Parts: sequence; C-alpha cells; structure tokens
Amino acid sequence: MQLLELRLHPFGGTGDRAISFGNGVTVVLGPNEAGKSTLREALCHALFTPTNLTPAREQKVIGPWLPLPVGDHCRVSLTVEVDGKVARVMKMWGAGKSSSFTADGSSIADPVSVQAALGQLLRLNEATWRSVLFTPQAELAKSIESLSTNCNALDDLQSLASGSAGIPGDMSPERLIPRLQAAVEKAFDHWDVQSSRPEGGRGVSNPWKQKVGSVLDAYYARERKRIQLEEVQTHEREVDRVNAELSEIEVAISSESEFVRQGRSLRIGIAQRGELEQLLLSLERDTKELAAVAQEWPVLVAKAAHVQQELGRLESEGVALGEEIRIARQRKESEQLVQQHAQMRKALEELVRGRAELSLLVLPDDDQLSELRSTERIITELNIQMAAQSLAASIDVSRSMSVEVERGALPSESVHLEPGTSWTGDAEGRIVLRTDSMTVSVRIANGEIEEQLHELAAARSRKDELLAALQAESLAHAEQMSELHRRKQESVNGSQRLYDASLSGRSPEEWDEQMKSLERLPGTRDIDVLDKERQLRTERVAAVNHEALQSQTTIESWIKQFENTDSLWNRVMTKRGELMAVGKQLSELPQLPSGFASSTDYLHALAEAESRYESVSKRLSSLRERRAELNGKSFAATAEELQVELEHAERDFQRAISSGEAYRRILAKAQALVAEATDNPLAAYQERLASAFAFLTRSRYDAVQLNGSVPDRVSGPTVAIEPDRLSRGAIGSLALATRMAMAEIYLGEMKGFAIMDDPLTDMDPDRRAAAIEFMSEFARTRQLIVLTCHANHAEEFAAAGATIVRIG
Amino acid sequence: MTLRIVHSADIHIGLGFRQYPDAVRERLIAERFEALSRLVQMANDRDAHFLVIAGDLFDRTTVSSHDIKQCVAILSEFSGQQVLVLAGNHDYCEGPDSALWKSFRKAAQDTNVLGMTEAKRYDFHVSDRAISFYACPCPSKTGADSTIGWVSEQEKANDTIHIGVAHGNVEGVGLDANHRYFNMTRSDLREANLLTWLLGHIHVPSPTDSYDGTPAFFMAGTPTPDSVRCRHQGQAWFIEIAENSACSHQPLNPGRLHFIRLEREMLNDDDLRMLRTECQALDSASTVLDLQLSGRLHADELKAVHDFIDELKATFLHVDCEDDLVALLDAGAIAQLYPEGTLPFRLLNALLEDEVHPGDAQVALELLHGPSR
Repeated sequence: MQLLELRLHPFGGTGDRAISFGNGVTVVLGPNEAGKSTLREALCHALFTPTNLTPAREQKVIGPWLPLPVGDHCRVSLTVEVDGKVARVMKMWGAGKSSSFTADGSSIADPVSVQAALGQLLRLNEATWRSVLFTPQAELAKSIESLSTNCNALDDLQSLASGSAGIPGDMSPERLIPRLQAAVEKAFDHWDVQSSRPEGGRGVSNPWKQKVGSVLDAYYARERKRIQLEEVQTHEREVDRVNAELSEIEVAISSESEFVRQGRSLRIGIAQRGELEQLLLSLERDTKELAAVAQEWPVLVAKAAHVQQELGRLESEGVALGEEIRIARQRKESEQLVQQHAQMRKALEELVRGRAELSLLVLPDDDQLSELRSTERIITELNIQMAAQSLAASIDVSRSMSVEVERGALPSESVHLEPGTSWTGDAEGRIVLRTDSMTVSVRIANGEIEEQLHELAAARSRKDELLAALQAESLAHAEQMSELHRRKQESVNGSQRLYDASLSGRSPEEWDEQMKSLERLPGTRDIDVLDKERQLRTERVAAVNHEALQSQTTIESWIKQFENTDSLWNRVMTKRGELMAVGKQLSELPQLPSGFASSTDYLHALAEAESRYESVSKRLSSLRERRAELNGKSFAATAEELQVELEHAERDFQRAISSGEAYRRILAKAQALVAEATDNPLAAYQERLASAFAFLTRSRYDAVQLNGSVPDRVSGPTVAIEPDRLSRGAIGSLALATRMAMAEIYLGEMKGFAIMDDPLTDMDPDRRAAAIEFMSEFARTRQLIVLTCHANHAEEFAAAGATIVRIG
Repeated sequence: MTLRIVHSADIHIGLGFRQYPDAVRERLIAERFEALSRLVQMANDRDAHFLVIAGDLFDRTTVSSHDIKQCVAILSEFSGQQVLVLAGNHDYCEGPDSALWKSFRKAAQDTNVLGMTEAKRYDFHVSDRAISFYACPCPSKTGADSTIGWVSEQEKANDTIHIGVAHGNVEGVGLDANHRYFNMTRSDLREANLLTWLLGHIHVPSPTDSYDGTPAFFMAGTPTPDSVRCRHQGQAWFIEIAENSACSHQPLNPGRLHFIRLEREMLNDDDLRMLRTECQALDSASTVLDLQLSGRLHADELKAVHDFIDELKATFLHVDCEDDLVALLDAGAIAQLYPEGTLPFRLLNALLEDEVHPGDAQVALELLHGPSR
C-alpha cells in the first residue's frame, strides 16, 4: 500500500490540508506547532480508529483532535494505491460520524467493514505499525526500550522472517522456491532425467501432449527432425536403389530384347532347319552305316574262312599237347613211386639190422628174475628187523692188543686197540669179541636173532645164485637187461611194420619191375608250362570259335537284311540321293546365328531369353511404377537441408538440457540456503541489522546480539557494549537500523510506508548523512515520510533525492 | 586459335533456404538465378565458346518446371557455341525417362543448351579445332563408385582437345568418408589421359589462384554462396586453351550475396567496438550474418551488445545470432539489485562461487527478474 494523499478537514488544529506523497522519501518540513505530528496522528486514526466508537471511547481517543474551540467533528481522508489501483478512505468522528472505503468503483460505509478492508491492506496489526513503522517525535532513541516492552504485542517477527522475506527487495522462500521449482518443472516436465528419455518412453510416435517441458519439447523437435531426415534419406536411398536396378535391367534387357526380336523372326525357319538337320544327320548316319557294311561284307567273309583254318590248326596242336601232358603226368606220378621204392628199401635195411642187434641181447628168465626180486625183498625186511635190535659196544684196553669183532650178520673184523684209546661200535642183534684169550658174545635176549641171522645168510646166498644164473650183477642190472631186450624187440617189430607198409601191397619183385618200366618213359616239358599252354590254347580256341560264330551270324544277318552286296550298294546310292535333296532344302532356310552349335541350342536359348525377357519386363514395369511412386512423393526439404536443421535442433536440445540443469543447480542451492535460514530464522534479520548499524556508525559497530528481536549487545572491532550505554547518537543509529530492519521484514514485499518524526536530531552530521543515505536506500522500494522542523535536515534529504513538502 | 570455356557448377536452383524468413528466402532464391545470369553475362563478355556446368544446376530432381524453364532461358542467353549442363548428384539423371531432364530437354529445344545426361563423348568443332567433352553424369544422388572409369578406355585422337566433365568428390579435396559421392582419385583423373577435367560437387574452388599451368582438374565451386559454410564469395572459372593446348585460368565472381559467420568472444567494450568495426566493413544489404557470440559481460555491456545486434538486424539482409553471452554478475552488481541478507542476495552470491557454472548466477537472476531481453 502506498500513500498518495492525506487530507485533514478538519483534524486538530488543521482546518483543511491535504498532503501528497510521492515515491521514496517525502520530507514534511515545518516549524514547531505547524501540525507535523498532527499529520502523523491523523494518518494513524485514519488507518486504525474506527468511527463506531462508544461515546466515551471516542471522547478519549478522538476528543483531543476535535477542532478548538467548538469543533464537533474531525475528519480525515486518505488516498492510497494498492497494486496499481486507487482506494479512498474517509473517516469522520464526532457529529455526523461516518466512514467509507471506495475501491474498484465500489464503496462500503459500514465502519466495521471499512476497518476490515483497511486491515486487509495494512496486513500488520496496529501495534506493529505504531511501534515499528510510526516513530513519534524524539522517540527514536527510546525505540529499543519500547520495542522490548511492546514486543509481545507486535506481529511475530520470527515467523515473518522465516516465512517470508523481510527486507525490501527480498523474496520469501515460499515464492522463490516454487518459482525455481516451476522453472525446473517447466524444463523437465515429462522428462526422465535418469534415463535421459521422455517419461514412460513416450517418444514422438506417442508424445506427451500436456505439460511438455522445454527439454522434452526440444527432444521431440529434434526427434521429429531426425525422423524427417531419415525418411528423406531412406527415400533418396530407395530412389537410388530403384534407379540403379532399373539402369542395370535396362542395359541387360537392351541386348536381350534384340536377341528376342531377331529370334522371333527366325524361329520357324530355324525350327525347320532343326528338323532337316536331324533328318540330314539321320541320313548321313544311315548312308555311312550302309556303306560301311557294304565295304566290310567281303572282308568278313574272308575273315570267316581264315578263322576256320585257324580252328583246324589249333585242334591238331591240341592233340600233341594232350599226349605230352599225359606223359608229363606219368613222369610226375613215377617220381612218387621212386620215392616209395626208396623208402621200402630203407625200411628193409632197418629191419635186418634190428633183428641182428636183438640176437645179441640176453633175455633174463622171467621166473628167476621174479625170485630174485622176492629174495631181495626178504633181505631188506631182515635187515630192517636186525637194525631194530641194535647193540652199542665199547672196548678199552690196558695194553696193546688185537680184538676180532663180529657184529650182527656182518663179517667179523679185527680191531687193534692201544691203552688210553677206546673202540665203540653198534651191532645188530649180537656182538662177538674175540681175543687170543677169550671170546665175549653178547646177544639180544629174545632168542630170534640167531634165526634171523640164519635166514638172512640163506637169502643172501640165494640172491648170489640167482644173479649168477641171470648173468647180472644185481637185481637192478637184471631188470635193466630185461628192459633193454624188450625195447629192442619192439623196435624190430616197428621196422617190420614199416617195411610191410612200404611194399603197398606189392612184392619186392613187382617193385623192381615197376622201376625198370619207368626208366623207359620219354622226356617232356614241365607240367605247369604245359598246363598254361593248354589254357591259352583253350581261350584262343574259344575266341576263334566266337569270332567265327560272330562272323557267321553277321554275314547271315546281312544276307537276311540285304540279300547280297549288290543290293546293299544299291541302297547306299539311294540314301546318298536323299542326302543331297535335304542339303538343298537346308541351304534355302535361314542360317543358324553364330555362337550356336545347333538349331535346338538356338531355339532353347531363344526360349530362355524370351522367358527372361518376360520376367525382366515385368520387373522393369514394377520398378518404373515404384519410381513413379517415389517421384510422386515430394519432401519439403532435402536431406542436406534437414541435416542442417537437425544440427540446429540438436543444439536447441542441448541448450534446453543445459538450462534445465542450471535450474536444478539453482534450485538445489536455494533450497540449501533456505534450510540454513530455517535453523535461525532471524539470521538474515540479524545480519541485516548488523550491516545497517555498521553502515550508520561508519563501521564502529559491526555486530549485534539479539534478545528476541531486540538488540541486546552491540560490538565492533574495538568495543562491545549494551545498547543503553551507547551515546544518544549511536543509540539513535541503532534504533534506526533496528526499525528499518524490522520494517523490511514486516513490510516484506508489500509496498508500505513508514513515518519518522524528526529521527535525526541527536546525530552528528556524519552519522546523519549516513542515516539519510540508509533511509533513502530503504525508501527505494517503499515510502518513507519524515517529519522535521530542521531545514538543514530537509535539505540533506533533498540532496539525496527526497521530496520536500513545506507546511506551516 | 584459343578456346575459351567458362566452367561453373553447383548453382543449386531450387534450394529452399527454409530456415530464413520469407523475404530473405525469396531474396536468396532469386540470387541463384541472378548469379547464373551474371555468369552467362561474364561468359559472353569474354567471348567464351563453351559454358560448362559440371553438375547440380538444380538442387533436386523435383525442381519446378517453371524454374527449369527460367534456367534454360537464362542459359540460352549465352552467345557462345554451346552450354553443356551435366547431371550432378542433386539433379541426377536416372535414365531416359528422367522427368527433370525430359523437362530440361524440352525447354532447351532449339537452343544452344545441351543436357549431358549420358556417359559418352560429345564432339564439337570450333573453327578448325576439335574438342571432345567426356560427360560423366550422375545416375543417382549417391554412388560408391566414380562415374569416370570408362573414359580411360576411350581412344583419343591426337589432334583433338579432350576434356572430362564429371561431378563428385575428389579424394583429398573434399570429405566423403563414407564414399557416397562418386569418389574420384587424382590417379583416376590422370589415367583418363585428358587435357583436364571440369568438375563439380565440392563447393570450394580448385586450384588456388596461384596455380600456374594446366591442372589435372578444375573444381568450379558454387558461383554464389549458399550458406556460411561457403567461405568464398562465389566463383567460377574462365579457362583459355592455347594452340599448344596450354591452359590458363582466371576466377570469375558472379555472386553478390555473402554469408558471413563471425565467432567472437565478447569480454569488454573493446570487443564490441571491434565487432562493430568488422560489421561496418561488410556489405550489410547483401550479407546474411551469422553471429556466434560468447563470453561474459557486465549487464550494461551486455545490453550494449544486444542493442548492437538489434541495429545489425535492422540493416543486414539477415542476422542469425547464437548468443551464449553471460551477464557478468559480481557481488557489487548483486548488492545493487538486492539488499544484503536477502535470499536472492545470498543465492546469487552463492552461485557466483560456482566456478564450474559461471552462468548460473545470471540464469538465476533471470528467473528472479525475468529475462533481461
């Protein structure tokens, strides 16, 4: 809200006065009692004092401002501008009290409504206006004290400082952050920053229609351009491809079409030529064959005769060869007989020699040999029994002597003994010691020993007799002699059997006669050579026989077919005549084009060429249609133009991304700052107050500590002090700084105003200059109304650009 | 007798200039025809025997018949023996049924304008001198292989001047990394055993002015620029072939429009002064100016630049400006705008500390106040 005009008519001592206010600082200059303070009070009442007061209250509040001596009413009219629109307020107290509020062509008169409308314009409560924005005369220095006292009645500075900007030109987080967020959203609406794609993958084929951010918009523009370019490039490539294929086909078809055109005119003639050529070939073949038969016939007849002779010769050769083979086989067989004869003679010699050797061998008598074996067994058994009755004897002598000792059945032995030596020995059944002077006989006491010794002696005697009879030295020897004789006898028997076998049923005489007849056989070639010759001859005979048969068959066939050679030659001549006739017909037909071996080849090639031609013609026609279709599709721009446009679109897209990212960084930074400010909502206010106080004191003080929202202690590079100990000038500066800093927060972005009644009276010129500069700065975006009676103050304000209004 | 040939290419009649406002576009389109007309006049002034357009007379095969007729009408003003117009890759001839070239032939009937749409030799006599042009037209917009292979196999009479006419990229001269534009190598050109080649496609003329002698090929360059990518003023060649077949050449400049791109970093008033001087030196009425400005300036300097751009827009044929200028905000400037302690004050100062994104503070300011322009 900005003040435009204040009219007092009447109010206090002022009968009718209107003051206009401009932007910035308006200085109302007038001497004491000129009505400056009245102006301030009139403004206060116009804004805050309703006209429906009770009489008592009216008397108390308004009474002092009724014109003297008998004025029964007072009236104030105020014209303000709000958001570019003018509003008018009129209030009259006392007689005829009324109020009105006119804005936007409508007017209200109800005092409560009028006050409510004003409240909306003023936003702040009356205490705030009166304590902070209205500074009574000479009360600046008391500001700190009065603000401390009234702080509870003021609008909450903290909530204002944290909730909205409090300094002129400031912007509240509530406005700034949404604005930045709106910028980010406007940039990135429906854009997926993470994937750098449109949200939901909605590309240009299915684009977002609403809330399309600048990035997405640039993306769509680029993609559309890219698609246009691809479409044009595809079209151009397709045109090139179709043209290339057309060109290729047209080149190919040009030679093909000439061949087909020519071929179609030649086809019938060439086809006839083909048939005649076939006929000609057939006639040539027949003529050639007949002529060949005619020439071959006498040759074959002569050959048949020769073959018969050859067969006769082969037959006689075969008889001789057969005889030689027979003799050769006989000789072959006689070789075996000779070997058998030799074997027979050898067997006979073996037999004779065996018989002679056998006659020299002694054959022991089987009975004697059997008895000898029995006697040997008895001796052995008796020896065993004797051994079982063994005695041990020992002889010691005191003088040298000889002793005859008999032990068992053993022959006696003489033993010479010397004193000091002893003889010991074993004996079977008995021992007898004989000296010159005595005989000592010791026997086993069972009484059989003598009998056993007797039987043993008898057995041994019989054994000796038998050995003598057998001419053997021992039983083993006798056994060996018997075995040797048996073996020899078996050998002689074997020789006899071999000999008998080698005779093969013939007598030795017959063998001798056979050998003599064999010696008389004539000599021949080897049987293998003869067999091979006979095989070759057999094959030759078969071949000649086959040849003879073939010749005969052929000749018989010719006779059957042609009767004889004369009639055959007649046929040959006839064929030759036909050949000439066909050749003549051929010469009248079109020649076969070069490069072809036959009419068939040509007609085949022509048919293929026609087929290809038809096929290619269809393709050609199709391609021409396609080309016409492609040519019919026109594009507004060429690929080159679109390429340039795509590059522009790409740059636009990158710019949009870049701008959007800048917005995001700015938003993040702003949010961080706001978060910091939330921790200490009065930080900005405190900072602003400190900087203002520093400015006003020329940096003597540059820091302010707060108690609530009111300065509690100030400090500078060299001093720290409580406000009540400051000089009047310094405390005035602190009060001014505090009021202005608070006013900035309270007014926020509202175009408000402040009134100060002689604020500079206690300041020296230097501080006053600083204060004027500071207040002018405050008034850059707001109105500041300064009431003063000091002309020099007014002049200094005027020098800083203030408007001077003189009254009184 | 000296033979005289004017060689041009890449006129691109039918180019749309879609990115420009209507009035500018009409002016640019008209310039293509006017440059062609001036080219014909220059050829006539020099008594040229042949005017050879080595491809891309037209920008597309779908160019209007009106434009075709207008072109032929202009070309038929050539007072020499023959105008030879080769089919390039933009105005390719796909075959005898090509709609463009049918229209062209129809329009050129009974004139000295001849469309070279077949790969073959075109023989002429000028007085007693025989000259053969080996035309290598493009059959499509793109092509992996060059069109000139057949020329080397042709027998060439000694008493004839043999000149090739082709359209496509020459390796080492233009960029065609994907081999899409009928790439020719220098050895391909030499192996054709011709006096020289008259080529089109690359919009930059070749050889350089200082080249003396008979080059293996001439690249015409477009006669009048069509975008800022064209760094020359528009060029064609006037070629003279002496009795002894020695070639001499002079550039012709039929273009009257200019596309100028100025990329400048603006850091202070001096830069603006220099830019102003540079722009004042340009032929503003005939110049499409593309300004690419970057840098950081104080608000008043930035405003001065923007005011200057507005001035340029009022005087130049057209001005495009890609403005990446950033207002140079400093703590002092911020303090002037916002009292200390205010949220904007703190935000802007905090953003100033972000050296990686120096423009953020200005962006933020614009968000707070609305854009400066």
